[in-house]
Amino acid sequence: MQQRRRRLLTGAGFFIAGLLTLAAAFLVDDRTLDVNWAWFALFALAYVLLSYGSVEVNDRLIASSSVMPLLTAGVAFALDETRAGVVLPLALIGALGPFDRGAIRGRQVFRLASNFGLLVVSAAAAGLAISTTVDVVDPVLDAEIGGSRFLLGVLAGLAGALAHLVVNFTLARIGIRLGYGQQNLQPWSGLGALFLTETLLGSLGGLLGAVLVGGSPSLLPLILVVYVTGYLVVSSYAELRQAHESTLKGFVKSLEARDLYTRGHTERVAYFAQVIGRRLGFTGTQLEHIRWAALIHDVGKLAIPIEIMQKQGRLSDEEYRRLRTATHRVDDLLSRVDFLRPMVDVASGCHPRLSEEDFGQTGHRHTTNPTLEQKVLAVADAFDAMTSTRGYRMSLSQRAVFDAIRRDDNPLFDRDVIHALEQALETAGEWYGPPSLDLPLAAEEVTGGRR
Amino acid sequence: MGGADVRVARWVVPVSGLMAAVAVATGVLLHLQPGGASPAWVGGSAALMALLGLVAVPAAGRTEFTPAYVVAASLPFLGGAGFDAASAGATVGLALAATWLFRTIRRDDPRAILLSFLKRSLAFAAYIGGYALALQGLGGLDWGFPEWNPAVAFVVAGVGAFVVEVVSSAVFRFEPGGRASVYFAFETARDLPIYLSLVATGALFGLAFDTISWGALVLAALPYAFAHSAFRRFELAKGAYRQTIEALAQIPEVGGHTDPGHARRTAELAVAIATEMGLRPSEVESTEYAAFLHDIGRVSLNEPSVLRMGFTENDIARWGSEIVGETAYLADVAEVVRRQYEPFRSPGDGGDPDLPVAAKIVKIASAYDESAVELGFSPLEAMDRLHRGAAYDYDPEIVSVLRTVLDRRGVFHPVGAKA
Repeated sequence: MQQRRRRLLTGAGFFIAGLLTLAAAFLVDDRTLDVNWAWFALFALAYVLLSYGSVEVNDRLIASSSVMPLLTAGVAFALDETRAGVVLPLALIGALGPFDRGAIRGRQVFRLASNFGLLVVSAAAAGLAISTTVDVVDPVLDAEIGGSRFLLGVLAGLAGALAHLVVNFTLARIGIRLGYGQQNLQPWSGLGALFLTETLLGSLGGLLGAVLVGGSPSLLPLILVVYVTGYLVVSSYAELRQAHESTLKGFVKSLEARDLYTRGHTERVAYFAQVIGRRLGFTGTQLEHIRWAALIHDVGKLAIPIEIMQKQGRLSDEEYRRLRTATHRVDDLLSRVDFLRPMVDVASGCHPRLSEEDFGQTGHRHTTNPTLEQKVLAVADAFDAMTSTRGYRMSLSQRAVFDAIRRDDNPLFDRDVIHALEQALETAGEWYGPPSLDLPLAAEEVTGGRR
Repeated sequence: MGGADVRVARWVVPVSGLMAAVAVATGVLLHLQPGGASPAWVGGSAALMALLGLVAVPAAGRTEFTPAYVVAASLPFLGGAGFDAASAGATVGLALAATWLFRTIRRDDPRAILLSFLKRSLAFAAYIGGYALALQGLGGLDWGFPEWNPAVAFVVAGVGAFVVEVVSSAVFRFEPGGRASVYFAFETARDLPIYLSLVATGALFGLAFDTISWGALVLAALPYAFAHSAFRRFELAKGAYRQTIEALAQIPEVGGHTDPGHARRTAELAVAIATEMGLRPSEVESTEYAAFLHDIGRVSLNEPSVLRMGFTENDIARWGSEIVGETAYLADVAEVVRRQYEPFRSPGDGGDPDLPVAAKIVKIASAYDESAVELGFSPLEAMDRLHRGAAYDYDPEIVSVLRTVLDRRGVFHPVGAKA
């Protein structure tokens, strides 16, 4: 309920900011709205269509290539003979943008309202950047020569693209944090590549505007094809993310299909690993990798032979060897999936007791020197395993678990990592396992020699 | 495709060499026509085009689109640099011959060189000729919007050249097979976005060259770089699905629930059958994935509770399709995995029309592999077992397609007995 209210307030705030920006643009842009209306209609249409095709490139972060027609329009209006104002037309085009596929299908009023404000403000910022650049640079360059028109277009497009990107991303991050809260967000990865792409797309859009002024009208359909290419670029990001996420889901599902104990375990381990990673200052990409490693860390279980699975009591050495061979063969299979390969090393090194012998002959490295990622995953795994109830023992309280893994001399249970998890859970006010009975001795007894 | 055509026929290299020589001669003759672009322009563009012809754009189908298409598409628009249809033709002829030479030195498959040479000459000729003819026609038409003539002529030429691409990819092939031509045509058609972004980028360069001179290079390079990176990411995404499917498919094998290699062999056979039947590329792909994953439900068989309660083939198919269904991209595959164990019809009815063809193919491919590899029957005996099940289990039409596929591979003949 509270979240809903927060979202409503955020949406309303963004919406009002958008309206205020429109009003300010109307007042400030003292030059009348005297634009080439055919161009305005065409670029506004392209903008609406590309915005409609927005895609989710990171958790709840949506992107589109609509900045291209926006900046084409901006630069074309700024360089056109009429020298019409740029801020107001762009803000108006921006106001048409919030209707993306996801928001309409999901009837997400919060998303529509906040995107309205977001897009109007960032479009107006882009317009301001373009007109300022043109006003400053134009007297310096002689805009009548072809070469300098090109340069002017490049500079104006670049300025507009940067202004749009900075304002848009800053506002989007604020809006998403206010609306959804940090805890519910999955890490954002590959932001550098995304920023570069958005900047280049915007600059290209601006450049197209510079070419269009005084160029052949036959350029228009070709410009539209370039917009389609821009759409493909952004959707390829989403497609790749979707491919990674959903193939991981396939593994998790096959793992949890029939196993009640494991159900939810991988997701929780992924969550704890991310909590630790955030605390330790991991980047978005590192956080995503640790999450993936967590999701696959138990897939080896799938290949455990039936006899071993059904066996009651202790395993013989021979059975233990078969168990390890099976899980390592699954690791080999997983490492044939390109995007998972770096994660398999992390995941296979996180099991405390399984890695103590030398597996030189199967190509698996012996983890005497665990990496930070392996330590993070091992602590997250142990923490969840001990705070949840298993078939063979009751769950332990959070404090007892921390005491137990602190006392364990396993090199994977790093003090700093454990401390990070403890601090992060304390800050977030989260509590796992049954209420603490302050019985570290009992914990010792229960866990002794078991894991 | 199959293993039958490993050797390159003797005529391939001489014929393709002859064609390259003809291309050079045509190029020189066209360049010697009065008027047209300077030797520097023709030579420079041809060299650039030949080099770019060695770069492959990541493509969904088996088409070989290269950045050379950008250069070719820009030529008709470079009137400012003196290009007319003849000098554009000269450039393309010389460029194709040079690419032929580079690829031969690089020791590419001679058949691939020949085919791409053929297809590209036809497509580029259609583009340049189509543009010139369309422009001429529009000039005579005087329809009132002469400034739009280049755009209209571009559309005519671009569409014409793409049709030529599609048709020639279906016609010029070394793999035999009647209805499979449809498959190849669709496979090329699937790459329309790549083709479109390449030729539009070229035309954009040509048109903008008049206004911003060499600044147009930036204007062409950026969209090309975008297109290339986008198609690469699409291919990476597809690769992630494929690799994951292959890895998942082997988990039941590692767990000892199915015969090692069964999934891979079934998938290979299912693809051959589906292609032979003339299914579309997307259908062939989901048949392949379903064949890979048809036993994935068996991973549940290491759960003591499942073994205690017992299970049926239906349960395994259901569990498998639940796992596959987690991936939205594989919704079709999940449906096929769900139904691949079903007989194609029951006594007294004509069969369920909603049963996917892919499901019937997977059932047959899996059964053949089981007989021929796991149970050790000879190919003829394995086929005989399928024929005996043709009343209800195995769709006889697909069984006969399997026979065609295997016959072409020569599996029914003792080694060396084939003429």
